[in-house]
Amino acid sequence: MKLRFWGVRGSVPTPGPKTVKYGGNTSCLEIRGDNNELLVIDAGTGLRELGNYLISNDLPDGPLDINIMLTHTHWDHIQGFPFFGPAFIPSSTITFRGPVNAIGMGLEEIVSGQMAYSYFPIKLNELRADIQFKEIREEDFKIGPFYISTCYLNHPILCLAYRITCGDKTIVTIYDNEPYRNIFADKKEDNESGLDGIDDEAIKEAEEYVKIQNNKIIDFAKGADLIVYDAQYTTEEYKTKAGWGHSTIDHALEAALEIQCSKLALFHHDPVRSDKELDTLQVQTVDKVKQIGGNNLIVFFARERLEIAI
Amino acid sequence: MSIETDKILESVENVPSLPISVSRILEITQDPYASPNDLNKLISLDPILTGKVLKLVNSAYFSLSTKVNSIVKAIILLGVNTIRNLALTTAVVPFVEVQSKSNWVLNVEGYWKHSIAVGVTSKLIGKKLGVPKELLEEHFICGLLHDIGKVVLSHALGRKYQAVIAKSNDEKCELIEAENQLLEINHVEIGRQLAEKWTLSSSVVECISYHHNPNECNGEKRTIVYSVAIANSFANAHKIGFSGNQAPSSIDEDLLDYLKLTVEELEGWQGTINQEIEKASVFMKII
Ligand SMILES: [Zn+2]
Ligand SMILES: [Zn+2]
Repeated sequence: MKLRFWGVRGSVPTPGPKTVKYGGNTSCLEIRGDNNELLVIDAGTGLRELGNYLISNDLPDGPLDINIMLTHTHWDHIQGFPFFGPAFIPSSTITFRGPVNAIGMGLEEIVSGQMAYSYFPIKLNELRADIQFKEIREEDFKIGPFYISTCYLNHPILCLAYRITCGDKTIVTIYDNEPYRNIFADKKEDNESGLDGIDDEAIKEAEEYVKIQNNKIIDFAKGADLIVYDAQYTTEEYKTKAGWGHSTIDHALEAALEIQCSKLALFHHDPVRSDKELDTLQVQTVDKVKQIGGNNLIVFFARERLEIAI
Repeated sequence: MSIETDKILESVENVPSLPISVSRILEITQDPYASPNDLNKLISLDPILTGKVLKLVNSAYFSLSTKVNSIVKAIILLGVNTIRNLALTTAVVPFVEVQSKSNWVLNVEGYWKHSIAVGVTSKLIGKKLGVPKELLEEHFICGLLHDIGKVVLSHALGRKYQAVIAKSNDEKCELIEAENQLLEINHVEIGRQLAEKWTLSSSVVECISYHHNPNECNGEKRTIVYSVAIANSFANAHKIGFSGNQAPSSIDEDLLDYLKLTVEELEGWQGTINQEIEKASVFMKII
């Protein structure tokens, strides 16, 4: 199996001289099976370049049949779609899969909502390709040679981790995700209105449940060869960003060591992160992995166009 | 299922949460800074809201791989915002719609206090028995929801149910007796069907099903079923709250023996139970 990154940035595209090396496009992954079968994860702005590549590289062999799996529908994971060349070609088939939403809006409604006339000149139903939407939950399914499972993550909206197995190799994506934490312990001072006794118990109950949920994600990823993990923040930055739905580099390392994977791609870089900073963090992170005994773990910051074979 | 039962169950989707808590629901759910603790308390103190939120969280819509049996877990799993929205849409929207023809023939405040009392007592019993922490909240919820069938009947039948309550009152018979005589269905059966329809946990289903005849329950849920049944008799005996039952049966000694509890122990908790209800009332702004 092969994986190529077309967008690695979190939150918002960041073009400019400071992000030339790692890239400024938002989330988009191209996965290829052993016979070059295609699977796409997320439709951030990286999808535009992937579309152009597919038109020149895959289209000559026949009509495009593209499966795009969305981790969730935040902007940085869908914004490339209106600029996805294959969607304008009548012979293309595009199938979106993505999580349901607790606000009662369908997947199609959300993705096509960004193509409302006031934002974009072309409507979803004017795109010439055959475009389908499938809402998915925690489940197992198969696309071509890929066996896929999903698991809910901790993010402000429902967000899915994907486990993709082809032959004897497995890739798992764990972003956008913040480790579950005990939010009941956050505001202890806010107690004057209530049942203090029950609060303490809520904190205890939450503590146990948080552990169970975090272990569930680790178990979900066990046996993976490559993990793509949310590493938006440094531990220092996280102090003021708890609850925003993202992890730190240390969270990612910790999880990778527990999962015992061989490769860890740090992903969803914060928009403020320059190439220089990422280079520095790369060196520090490799040192840290050695210190904590992860000698068999290869860790790297994902960068646009980087291709990894596993 | 008879057509009438079907109809009754259908109407339950429109049952508003308790009128006394709606203003609090609005206040807390519309506050962008509502804390997880406030949200948890708000939902956990309202039997209908609790049932509806758990129903949604465990529905096929999310298809969670493991069942969620408490509001704390639901909040950790789906986040404050999602649960807040679920609570707001399930509790308040139906309330606004049916407010005008609202049929509370039950004494709302009495029913609410009774439900909380049974929940708190059942949880205290659980604690005494050394029930694992992650299951204690289920003891509370099972107690809280044991009489939810009465809300359904009260709403679906209105005056007809008022006659049932009056009969129990006049003849000093158990409310369920009067239901059996005057209706095709009783609050235990409709409550059980509702809990199944809402896919609440099997503990909730069994506690509702057996709270009047716990001796008939002999599966693995016996401990929690007995806890709720004892808590129910205790609340009735001490007239903590009132759920329409004028002639409740007394505490069954066999159940106490089975759980190795004594009446004296229960009596000793009375202060705690009253305190919890008072705190809950302050929180819900009932007093
Ligand atoms: Zn993102
Ligand atoms: Zn996001």
